[in-house]
Amino acid sequence: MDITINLTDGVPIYRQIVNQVKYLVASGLLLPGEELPPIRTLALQLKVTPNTIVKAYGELEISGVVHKRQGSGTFVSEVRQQLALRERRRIIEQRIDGLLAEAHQLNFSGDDILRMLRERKAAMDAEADAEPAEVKKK
Amino acid sequence: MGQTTVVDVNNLSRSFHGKRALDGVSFSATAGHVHGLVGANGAGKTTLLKHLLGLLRAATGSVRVFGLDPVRDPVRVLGRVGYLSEERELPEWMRVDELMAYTQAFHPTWDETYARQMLESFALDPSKKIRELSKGMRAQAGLIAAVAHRPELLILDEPSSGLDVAVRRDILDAIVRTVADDGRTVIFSSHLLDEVERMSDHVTMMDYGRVTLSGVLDDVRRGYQRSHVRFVEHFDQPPVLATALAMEGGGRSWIVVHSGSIEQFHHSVLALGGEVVESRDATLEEIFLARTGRNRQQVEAA
Amino acid sequence: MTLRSPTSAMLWELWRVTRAEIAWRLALPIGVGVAALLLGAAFGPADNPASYQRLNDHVAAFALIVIVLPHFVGWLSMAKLNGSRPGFPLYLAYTRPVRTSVMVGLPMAYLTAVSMAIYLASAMVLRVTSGYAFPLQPVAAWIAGLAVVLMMAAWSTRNRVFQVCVAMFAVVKTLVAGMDRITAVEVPDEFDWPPRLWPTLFDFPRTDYAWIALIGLASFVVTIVMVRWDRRGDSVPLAAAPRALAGVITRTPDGGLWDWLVGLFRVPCPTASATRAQVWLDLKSNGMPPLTIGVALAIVILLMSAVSGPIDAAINADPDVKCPIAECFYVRSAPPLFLTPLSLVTVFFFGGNAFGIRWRQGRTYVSPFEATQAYGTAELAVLKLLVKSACVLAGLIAIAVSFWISIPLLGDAVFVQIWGVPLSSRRSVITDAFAALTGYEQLALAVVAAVGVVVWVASWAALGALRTRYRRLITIAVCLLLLYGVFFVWLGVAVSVDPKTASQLHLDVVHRAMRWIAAVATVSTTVYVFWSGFADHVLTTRYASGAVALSAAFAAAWLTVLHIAGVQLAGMSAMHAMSVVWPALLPLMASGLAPWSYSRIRHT
Repeated sequence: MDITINLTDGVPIYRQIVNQVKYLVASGLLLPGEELPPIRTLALQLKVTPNTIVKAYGELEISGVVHKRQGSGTFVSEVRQQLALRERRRIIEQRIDGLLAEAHQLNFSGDDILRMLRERKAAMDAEADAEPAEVKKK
Repeated sequence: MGQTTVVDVNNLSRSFHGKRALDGVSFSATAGHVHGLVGANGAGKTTLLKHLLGLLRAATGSVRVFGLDPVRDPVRVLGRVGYLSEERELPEWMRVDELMAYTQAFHPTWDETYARQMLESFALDPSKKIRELSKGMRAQAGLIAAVAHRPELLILDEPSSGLDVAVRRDILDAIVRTVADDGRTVIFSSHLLDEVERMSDHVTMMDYGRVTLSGVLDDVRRGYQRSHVRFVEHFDQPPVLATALAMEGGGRSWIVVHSGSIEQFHHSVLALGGEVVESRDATLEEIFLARTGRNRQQVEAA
Repeated sequence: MTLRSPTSAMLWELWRVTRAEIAWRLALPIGVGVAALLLGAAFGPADNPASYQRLNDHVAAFALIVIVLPHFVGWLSMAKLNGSRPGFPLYLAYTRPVRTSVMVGLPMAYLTAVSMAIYLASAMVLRVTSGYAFPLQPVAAWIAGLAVVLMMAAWSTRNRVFQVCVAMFAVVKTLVAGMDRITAVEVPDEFDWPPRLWPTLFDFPRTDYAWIALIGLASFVVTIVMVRWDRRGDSVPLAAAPRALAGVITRTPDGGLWDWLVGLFRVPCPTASATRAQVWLDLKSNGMPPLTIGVALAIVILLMSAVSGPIDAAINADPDVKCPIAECFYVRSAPPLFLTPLSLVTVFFFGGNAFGIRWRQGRTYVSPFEATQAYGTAELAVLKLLVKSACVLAGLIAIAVSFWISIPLLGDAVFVQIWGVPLSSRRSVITDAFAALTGYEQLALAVVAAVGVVVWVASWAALGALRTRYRRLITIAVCLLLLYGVFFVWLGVAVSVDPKTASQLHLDVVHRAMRWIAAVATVSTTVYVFWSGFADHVLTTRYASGAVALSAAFAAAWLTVLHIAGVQLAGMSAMHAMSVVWPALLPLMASGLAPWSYSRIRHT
């Protein structure tokens, strides 16, 4: 499982793990029914105390993203479309907030942003047509 | 994880040649957790850890490990403790395999397979003398001797000092393994605050022989915020803000580490004609520097 | 304090490093010399002017030896700068912008000048005190020359073999040449260099000074060249020599002789029990050195005795051993006269520091590695002591046995000249006396000897441990103890030499009183140590009962030995008896003192 820990952001480590797992689930990199690494393994991989992993898994279970099967491990819960949708919306909204804040700093108005969005989207579509289609991630 | 107290230090004081090394220190460690000990050089971390091993006698106050006094009962306490010291005081003439055999004789719980595994993964030549090993390899040898008998309590004094990245990872590995095996406890002191931040469940901060901070790491961090503040007017000296502990920056833009009521802080920022641009939980390093560093300012009376 | 130039900075540094040692080198020889002279003048036989003169002449010669002797040893404070290893001690200065010739020349000049000054000061003080004409500049010049050569030996290379060989050669040559000089004129009836002849004897010719200057210059140049090589990091040629020399002996590791000795004992560490592992550790780190040194010296004694006959014949071209002892030197005389006593003393000396106290950067401490092993404090202390004592005993026995065997090899002839009786007759005296004892008495002697060694090792270890904790207190106590011992011995000698003075000063009573003081001190120490040990839970009732049993056995043995020595306890007053019997308490004191002091440093 590809998770990285960043210590400079000030975000607690367990929260970073929770966020990243949620992202992986939401973006389909972790499939429903797939097993998460055991606590010990993930702790060794990330070089964090196992209690942090326990906390992260606990919070993921509370929010329903994963569930524990007795003795076997922790598994990703069945896909619930609303959850994925909610997560996806939240991620994009974060990006949009960041973009708007930066635009404000650089003295661009909301209309400027919308215009630029349309322009960039058109350019991207043109490129995609010119090149062979990417392999869709499974 | 159980909540049994493995280590209980109560109001411990100790002086050396008239200088106070520890001043009324109280510290406790619960089973199954990693306890990080941070502090500047000379803050008293090593002194505290030495008291846990019975190398120092408690002048005032009490020290109990597994409910026993390590000075009175060295056999029963030290038999369940693994220790890696900062200076790695291993006999120079001993070979690595002799070190393993010698340590094994004192601990019936020695796990030979685990020891061999570690020897192989560290690529240590068992027939080499300690004298011929580099600093990192000595730390590895000491680590194997401390960990292979699966101690209930692992005490590490500045385990990463002077070591390269690879050996540091080995040490962190060992810490994780020790705690992940049920009921075992780790106490370690370190200067590397990012290590302490990753590895600790509980953190204790010491300064000039006193405990200045102690608690679950996440709770401690939540109590401190780091904010980026921008003012309309130019300040030559750091502006005085309520609940602020340390300030960095200059002119109109300042980074402030503050603890306590967030509303109070925001009010005082607004009162001076500024705004809080962004705010997040402070990292352990920022908390540490704020409490002991040079950018400290007096906290205004609320 | 501003130091205005590199030279003054270096001089200041040298002063700071050596000032304590300068104080010692002045105080001790002058103190001893003056004390000896004053004692000789005060207590010499006043009624007999000839023997008074003779006594004071001998004392003056002794004083001269005492003030010259320290200069045969290099400067310890300088050697400590690089951990007593050979090599230039001020190597930290290599990165300073100073030329090598200055960096080497300045300390050499300083130390030579200081050595000369110390000698001159000592000689002048003794002159004034005694009125004898202690030699001044001739001996000072010789001392200067020797100092330069010793510095050259120690500083030129990192090679211990080179240093030891050159230093020994220089010292021996100087001694021999010096003795040759001053014994050139034969004086009947007394030793060959009485003080009244000193002005003429010590009037060395001018060529001496020329030679010394030449040797000094040569050493200086050699040292500069070698240090310059070392500074540049080039491998110095002499480093290759020991590898070629060594051959059978494996390369001396960085740890030196001690660690090499430790490495000789190759037995795997037992894992069955903690006690066995600890015994293994103590044998390797503490016990092997005195044992191996003892065995090695024993072999040396045996070999030397075996070859001494032919060597003597070769040296003196005198198979019948007619040449008087004063003129010819006999190798045969070495084993019984110095080699064996010296070997015994050496093994005793290596019996110190049984607790393995380390010294690093001015700090003494017990190894945390051993202190954090899961083993009881008292058990650990006792184990270390027993292992060390066993090895010391084994070493001593090896030397004694070797000497005993080699007596027939030495032959009788030489010893008839020295002592008037052949060596074998002395040997048979001892064997007969021993055979006359009953089995029980022989056992008692053995017990007293063995336990005596253990008590010695324990006391030395305990002293070392306490010195780690209470530095100043123990240094004072040791000085007092030494003074007490010296005074004790002097009293004994005075009483036996001249009973008249003895009764004058009631020396007999003083003697007995001092033994009483020792007894009281022993008892109070024992009581305190046991009480404190029990309070700290270092000592247990089981341990205490074992200690008492052992002490009881020793006491019985001691009484038997007293009986063998002819001391009749029955007829003495209680006081007198006590003052003779008190050593029986020593094992009890040691068995309490050792764990107690070890606990003081294990749990600081």
